[in-house]
Amino acid sequence: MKLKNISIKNFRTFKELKVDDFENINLFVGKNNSGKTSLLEAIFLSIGISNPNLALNIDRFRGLIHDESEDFRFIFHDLNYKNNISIELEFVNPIQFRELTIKPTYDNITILKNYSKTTELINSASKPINQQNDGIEYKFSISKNKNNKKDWKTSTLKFKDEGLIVRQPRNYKEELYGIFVRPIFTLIDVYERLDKIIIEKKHLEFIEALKNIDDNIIDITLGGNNMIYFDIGIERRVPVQIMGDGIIRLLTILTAISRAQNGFVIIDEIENGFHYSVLPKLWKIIYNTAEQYNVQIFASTHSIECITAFRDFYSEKLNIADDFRLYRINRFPKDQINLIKYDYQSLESSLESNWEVR
Amino acid sequence: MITIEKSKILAVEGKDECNFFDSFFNNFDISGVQIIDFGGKAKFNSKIRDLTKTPGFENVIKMGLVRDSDNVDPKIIFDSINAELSKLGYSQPTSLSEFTNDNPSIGIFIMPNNSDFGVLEDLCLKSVNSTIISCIKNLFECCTAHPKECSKAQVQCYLATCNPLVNSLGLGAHKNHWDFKDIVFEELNEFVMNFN
Repeated sequence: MKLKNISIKNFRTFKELKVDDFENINLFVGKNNSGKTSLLEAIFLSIGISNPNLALNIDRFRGLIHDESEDFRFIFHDLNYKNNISIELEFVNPIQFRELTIKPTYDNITILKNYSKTTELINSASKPINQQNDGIEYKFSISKNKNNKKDWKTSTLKFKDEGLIVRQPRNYKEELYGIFVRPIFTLIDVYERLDKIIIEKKHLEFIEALKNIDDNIIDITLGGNNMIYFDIGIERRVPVQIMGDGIIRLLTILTAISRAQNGFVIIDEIENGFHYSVLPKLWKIIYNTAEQYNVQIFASTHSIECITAFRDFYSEKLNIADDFRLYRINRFPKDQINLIKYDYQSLESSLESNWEVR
Repeated sequence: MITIEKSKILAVEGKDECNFFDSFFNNFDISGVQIIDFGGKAKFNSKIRDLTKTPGFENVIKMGLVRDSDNVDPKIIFDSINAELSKLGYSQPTSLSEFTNDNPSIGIFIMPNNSDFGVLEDLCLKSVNSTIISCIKNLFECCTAHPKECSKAQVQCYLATCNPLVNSLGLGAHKNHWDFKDIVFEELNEFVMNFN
């Protein structure tokens, strides 16, 4: 299944945004705060459409830890609860339409004014003066025909005294799988994914890929305490932390693609950790691995080297397929967003003229 | 990397044309126009598409497109450029040298003069004293091997007689080797006055 179009309303940076014509590899560029990460997050939320926990996760990815229900404001446009978040997606192969609405939920409490302890009388004018937000509600539908009557399902995520309470529909099992690769380097997720990959002996193909960054790598093994070790031909195995950012980053991306087979991998700031000289090889590895595991890639970058590296890799392909898109998000005052789309031909032509595309 | 920095842009075929129009604008005290090199005529129309995608294009209010007719009827080239503009969703000028009233306002000029076959070199040569041109032609007659691109060769020959010596039409413009006040530049002058 491939995501083709997305329409977003009232989410993060976006009052309204439509992106169409996604392909297998999709790269987002734009100035700081243009909404690249927000767009990646919207895609991620919609892939796990029944799981409101993802709304917390995307804030965690940004280093925001929620400690009260009011923190859900961060995902709403202008931090304003008044307008519900709406995300619509269209998939192909097979066709599927997804709609997601996110709105705040309110605790059923009444705060009374004019309450007097001495008289213990409640003034007749007393009324609720404030509603206490206690979480969010996901309302979602999945259909094969856009015009069919919607079968709406509901999930909720609420902060209660006893903790965080998630309710998801029992009769719904998510068939899509997506992984969000953050720009910062963390190994816990990698360890879990690598564990399964080593059991399935798929790590051998990754070793070949990792040799593009360090050709001393012979083998990879897991240790206790989430430790990942490399055999680089010396007497002792070396922890991955010693190997450098490029190895960690490539391992993160490759394990994500492998585990998201037939799904989606979303990579924020894809160039992070890589020397520019390895970027063409990186693209070749990512492209081929994504093709092998039938994974659709959505990534953001600030780096022109990353973009030209894609061009360099792609131009050497024997069969140039129309399976790449680059989108530049231009953000203007008053919530105006303008999206510029490049296919490979127009990207190649612009780069040939040395015209900026970011 | 090149971005669009100015709100008025003129797209031309190559570096020589960039230098020529830089001087032409200066000569008529027109400033604030960014001249864009399309790198040849082969991909002229696809370069229009690419240009409209370039950061900063959203601020463009005036865009001129200049290319050579070579051996093609200027009207056919005009229609071809208009077809590309239509495909991109922009309004199209109704005739050569006229600018649309839309935003961006778009105008097209086909060298040498919107009606004849030829290139920028032909326009410039027409501004040169006819006696000198006769002499240059005589020189070529004396030579056994005749150049393929006759007007480009004649420009080189003419520039070889100018002081200071330069080796291209555009640099010749920078050194005032072309008389922009000559009547042959009048139509081009009217076109560029739209940028004022």
